[in-house]
Amino acid sequence: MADNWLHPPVPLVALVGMSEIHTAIIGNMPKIKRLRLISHQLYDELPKPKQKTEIKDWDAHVPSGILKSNWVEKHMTQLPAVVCLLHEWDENKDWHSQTVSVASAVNNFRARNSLRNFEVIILIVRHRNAVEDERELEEKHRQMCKDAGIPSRNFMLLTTTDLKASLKRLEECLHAAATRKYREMYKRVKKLKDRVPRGIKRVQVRYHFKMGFYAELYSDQYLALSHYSSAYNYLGQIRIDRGSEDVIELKVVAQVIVFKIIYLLLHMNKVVDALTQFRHHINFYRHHRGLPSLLFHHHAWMSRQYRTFGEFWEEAPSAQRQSSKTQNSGYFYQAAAEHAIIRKNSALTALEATGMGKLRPSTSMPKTEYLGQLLTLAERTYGAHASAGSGTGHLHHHVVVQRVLALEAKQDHSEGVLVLLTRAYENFKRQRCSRMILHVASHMAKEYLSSGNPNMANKFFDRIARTYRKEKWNVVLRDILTKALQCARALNRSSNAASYTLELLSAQMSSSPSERKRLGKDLLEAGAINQPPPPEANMLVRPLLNSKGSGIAVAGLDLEALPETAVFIVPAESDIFICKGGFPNRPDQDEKEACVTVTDSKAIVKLQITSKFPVEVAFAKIVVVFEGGVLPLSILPQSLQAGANPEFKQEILRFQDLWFKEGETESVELEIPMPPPEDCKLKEGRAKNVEISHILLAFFPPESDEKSEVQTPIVLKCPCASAPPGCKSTAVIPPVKSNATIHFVNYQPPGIVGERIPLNLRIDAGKDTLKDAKLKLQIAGAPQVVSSASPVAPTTPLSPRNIIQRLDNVGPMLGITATHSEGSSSEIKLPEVKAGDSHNVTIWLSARDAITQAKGLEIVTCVQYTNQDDRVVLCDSRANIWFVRALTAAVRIFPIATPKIPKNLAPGGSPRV
Amino acid sequence: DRSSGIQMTSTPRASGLIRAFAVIGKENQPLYVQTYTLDSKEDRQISLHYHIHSSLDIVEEKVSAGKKAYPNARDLYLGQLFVIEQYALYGYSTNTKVKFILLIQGSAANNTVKSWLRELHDLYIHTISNPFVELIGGNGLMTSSFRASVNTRVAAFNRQK
Repeated sequence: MADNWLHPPVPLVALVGMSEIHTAIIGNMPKIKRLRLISHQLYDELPKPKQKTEIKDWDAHVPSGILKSNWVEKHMTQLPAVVCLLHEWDENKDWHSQTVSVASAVNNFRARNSLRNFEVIILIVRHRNAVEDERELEEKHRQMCKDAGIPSRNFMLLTTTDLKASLKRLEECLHAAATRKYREMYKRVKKLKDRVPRGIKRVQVRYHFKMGFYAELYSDQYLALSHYSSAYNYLGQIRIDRGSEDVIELKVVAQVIVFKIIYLLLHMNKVVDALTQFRHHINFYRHHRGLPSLLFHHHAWMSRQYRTFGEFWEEAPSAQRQSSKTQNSGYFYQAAAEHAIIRKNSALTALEATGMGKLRPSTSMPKTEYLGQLLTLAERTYGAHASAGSGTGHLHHHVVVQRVLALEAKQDHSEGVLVLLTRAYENFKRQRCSRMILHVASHMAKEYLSSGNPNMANKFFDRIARTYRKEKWNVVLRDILTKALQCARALNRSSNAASYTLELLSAQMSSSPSERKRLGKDLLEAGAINQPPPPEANMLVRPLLNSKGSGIAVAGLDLEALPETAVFIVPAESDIFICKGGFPNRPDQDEKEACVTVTDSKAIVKLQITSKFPVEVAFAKIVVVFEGGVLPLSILPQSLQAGANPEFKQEILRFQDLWFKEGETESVELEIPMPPPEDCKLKEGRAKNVEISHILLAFFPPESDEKSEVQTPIVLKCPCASAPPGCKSTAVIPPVKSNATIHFVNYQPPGIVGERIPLNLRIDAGKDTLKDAKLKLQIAGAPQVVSSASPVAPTTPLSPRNIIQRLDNVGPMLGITATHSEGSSSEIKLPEVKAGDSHNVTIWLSARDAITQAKGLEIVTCVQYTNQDDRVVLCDSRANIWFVRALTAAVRIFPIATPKIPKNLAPGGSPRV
Repeated sequence: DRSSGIQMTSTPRASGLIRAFAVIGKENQPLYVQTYTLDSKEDRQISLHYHIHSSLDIVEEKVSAGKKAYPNARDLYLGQLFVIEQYALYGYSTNTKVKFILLIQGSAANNTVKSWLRELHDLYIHTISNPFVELIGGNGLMTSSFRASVNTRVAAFNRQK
């Protein structure tokens, strides 16, 4: 049966004769929704009734079915209640002859359709108004009706000169006639029904349904609802085996009746009743699964129930008014889609089990006499005989399965599922149900994946994973990531696949050990990371592709020493490799202190790495990256060539050839060089902290160590979780007090632009012995120059006076040059100066342009040396830079304010000018 | 207005069985999720997790609407959240924004569900009063004693039906 039954029926009227004006009448008919007009030729055949034998012995009667397949269709499109016979009035003929021709047309029609007692209406079409007076005309019309044998209310006049008014009258007349006819048909069925015992449920269902249908046709909705409800209740009382094929008939009829009920309830504004009825219907028939081999058919039916109810809900204004987050059509579409997915899977299983080759392509569903039956009456009769005679009743069953499977094989399941999911998505979006949208989106992604569109699926998975990750719904997230991994593999996106695998391996995902082992193996065997993830990809373990020369660099990773690879930034909570690192407590230090104080130029660092990776791995390289100016520490096997990165390289020590099994913990202590204390006065008194920032782990599968030159390692950037036992995470380099001082012996600014001004320094060693001493020339107060070597901006903004930069860097920009005995570099090597001695240095400053005092530029001279205790020590001093042009050089003779050499030089050499 | 005269056909099972129970934290993170399905298929169990997560939309809506509509309302039971397929979800939100979600197959009387959830709230308070239970970062509510207590109550609920 087509979906016609979903719409409310309207009375059907046939226009017969004068077919050339049917279109004009149908097109101009007012209130056309009340009636459905069909066009017929005068001698067209109308459906004839079948001869039926009266059933006298109801006890012996076994109904062949419940509802005829074409009954609803017939009443909605083929069998009119009213026939309107059109007759064109010929103004040249006399009344009598025209009356005779009308009467003969009516009688002819009646004779041809004697078995159908149609309500006949005569419609006289006139092209101009009648010339007779009204009374005479009425008399003539009455006579015409009498001759034709119809009541005078069934006589209508259509004047083409006044079409609108004529059609209005005609519509009312037709509707009244149709209502009368359907009432009559209702009464006829009621009489038949009253003769049927209540125990014959199928026939009771049939008659109640028909009565409800007729009541609906003559617009008595309450009566229709009552009959449909009775039909539905009788249907529910029919006892059959829930696992047999007869269930299908019951469910199809139930579907027709229940949606008649729901439609009427929704249009009576009884939304709650409609919803309750639907839930009862679903819960009752949920367990009527039918033949196990046709399980997909049951889910197709369930899906259809939800979808139809969703559509009704969307179309009914009363339901729309009550739509909310808790109740909207999105739920019904979602449930429909879920059943459609089960249907698809069951159908595929059934088709695989049967074998597509065994299905005859020509197999099609025959048009059966009764609604919901899969065999024709003839086939049923034959099956019954066969079953009784030769025991081949299973033929029956086999034919049914073959037919349904053949029909199912032609279905495009995915398209249907996606349509339903899209509708659910839109409804939830309208109601702002963000999490429900995610659930629907996950279904959509899975459907895209199973229908061979991994690209689309991957986009969906990436988007929805974000919320589940944020809210830590790890069971759901694991499901999504597993599917996303399948997408990435299907798309050959190894970087995405590796990211998803690493996230799945993390502790909070709680994957099973076998699953973890499989994931670990797959990750190692996946091969090279071939392409970066798309920019919109949302991943926890984010890969950062490092192609050589791409300009992307990860601090501390010597890319020259490794083949082209990607670095995966692993969050702390992942726990794939637990990396701990710190500085062992010194024996002379209180253990309660938060930091380890380092006063030597070298320090010990302890590393402890625990592998939770499910497969044994061999590290190609471990890089420990520090914060606080310590060069990265690389631990690498001898077989791997070191690169050109500035790093402190350490060959393999005790790391058992850097092989790790799951659960193994290895620790090692290494010596690293420590940087000098802070190198300018502005941070004087502050300790310098050194911490482990993160650890980079590059590893291969163990069996591939021989081909490590060609294979791509996987590099993980792991945060340093905490310090190992007996260690502190931070080492402090305390400032060392300098005994040496720097004095400006002769410096008399302003200098003249284009000339050199001498700056004589005297470095007094004081109590220290200055070894490996260097004098650094720096500028304070200049705008900061951002070099490519140090792209990271300071965390706290400094005042210009506190920004100290090398003269090499800022001098060319400011036009300041300094020359000395060793040339013009910013560093001057000093000879060893013994305690109590001093050393003089002369520096010649020049400027390209005038530099006013207001600019606040200062020259900072800093001496770095190693003292007698082998500690690196710094001392510095600063003075204003002031240059004027030659014309204003008079200021040199008569300065307004003679610059004074500051007298308050601190012993460490920190004058404030 | 004439009566529609509908007589609903009774369903095979009018009462409900608990199929899942969840305790959700303040930040909507799951503190405890337990499913009770006969179907051992993982997909079925995950779908219950999806339903519970989806129900947080309604919980948020009900909690915010409750405050606006009844500022002094002290009832923590949120009633039925939504029905999907044969499952009905019920909610309970504490003053500390911890949520209890109960997923029932079929339907159950509101009073029964309400008293059951209140019992679980008491059990939750009793459990977190233990100073060794760490809700964040630690093992959370996944302790054997809490699980055993919940399972006992679930079994009792399902037996009543």
